[in-house]
Amino acid sequence: MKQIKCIIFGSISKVKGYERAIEIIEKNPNIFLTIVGPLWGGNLEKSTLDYLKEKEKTLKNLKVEIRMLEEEEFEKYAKANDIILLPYWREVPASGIFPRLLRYLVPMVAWDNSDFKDYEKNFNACITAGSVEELEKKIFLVYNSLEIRNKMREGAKKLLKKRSWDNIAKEHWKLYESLF
Amino acid sequence: MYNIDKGGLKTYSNYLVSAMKKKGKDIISSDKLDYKNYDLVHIQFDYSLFHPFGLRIIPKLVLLKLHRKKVVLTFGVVPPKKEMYARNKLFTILKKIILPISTKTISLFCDKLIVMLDDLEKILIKDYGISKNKIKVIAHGMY
Repeated sequence: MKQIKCIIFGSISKVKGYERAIEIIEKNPNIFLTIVGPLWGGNLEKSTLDYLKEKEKTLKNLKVEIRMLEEEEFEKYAKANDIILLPYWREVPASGIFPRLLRYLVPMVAWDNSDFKDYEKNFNACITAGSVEELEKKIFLVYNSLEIRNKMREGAKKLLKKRSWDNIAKEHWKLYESLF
Repeated sequence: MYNIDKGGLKTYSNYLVSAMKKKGKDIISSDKLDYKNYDLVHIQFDYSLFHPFGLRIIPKLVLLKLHRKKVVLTFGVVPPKKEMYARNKLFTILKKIILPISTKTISLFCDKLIVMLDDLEKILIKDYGISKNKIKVIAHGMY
């Protein structure tokens, strides 16, 4: 069976929902998960780090890299994987990782939090799931369907155009001007 | 634009400021509260950056208002009351009590609050008692 390479980016935090992805890779040894990101927040995230390190010791299909990626490394890491996972807790309704990685057009499978639902519903730029079982199914669905991956790629391009920094900057400036 | 984050918010500020500069706007991004030469200060805010519970931003907001600056503040994340967590139960309870107070106080010193999602606007109104007129939703830019 072919290996499906998945990755979770971003600062190490409990709310990233690692346990959901790890539950899936424990059942599916053909899914390889990389977790990469810096550790901030001191003691608050120590238990999360301990959990990840413990899991890394026992799972051959898990790699944990605790470090801040350089800007140019994001592309390399994203493109080296089949799917970017964002199984975040609902406490994280918005993600900075998604907009940052969208331009690499690597399929993203996310939890059904507010912004991911928006990107899915209005642009088809990602696929969301609301349970671990569904997340697992969607990983395989995206990996096995070229049609779905192409649709997501087109959706991502549409989203990139509509929410370009030029457009977002214009909205901000308009707001600033309205205050004077 | 004032930002002290080293991660996502820093990247966000850099891209936003650079897009504005391209249009010839007079704006800088800084991790120092450099307000003297500017009429408006836009703060990239996260509760954890101004720990405890975001309270550490309040003296800075007071200072800006004393100097009659317009203040815009962007919330990276606004946790809904029912899904808050902290290092233990006691801190979670404290967070649930203090966060709405600190958020309400922050809003008093800001001319406008920006959130990136409609849902965050709803949370600010419902869980934190912020007036809808004070909030503007501007989506996250795509890199």
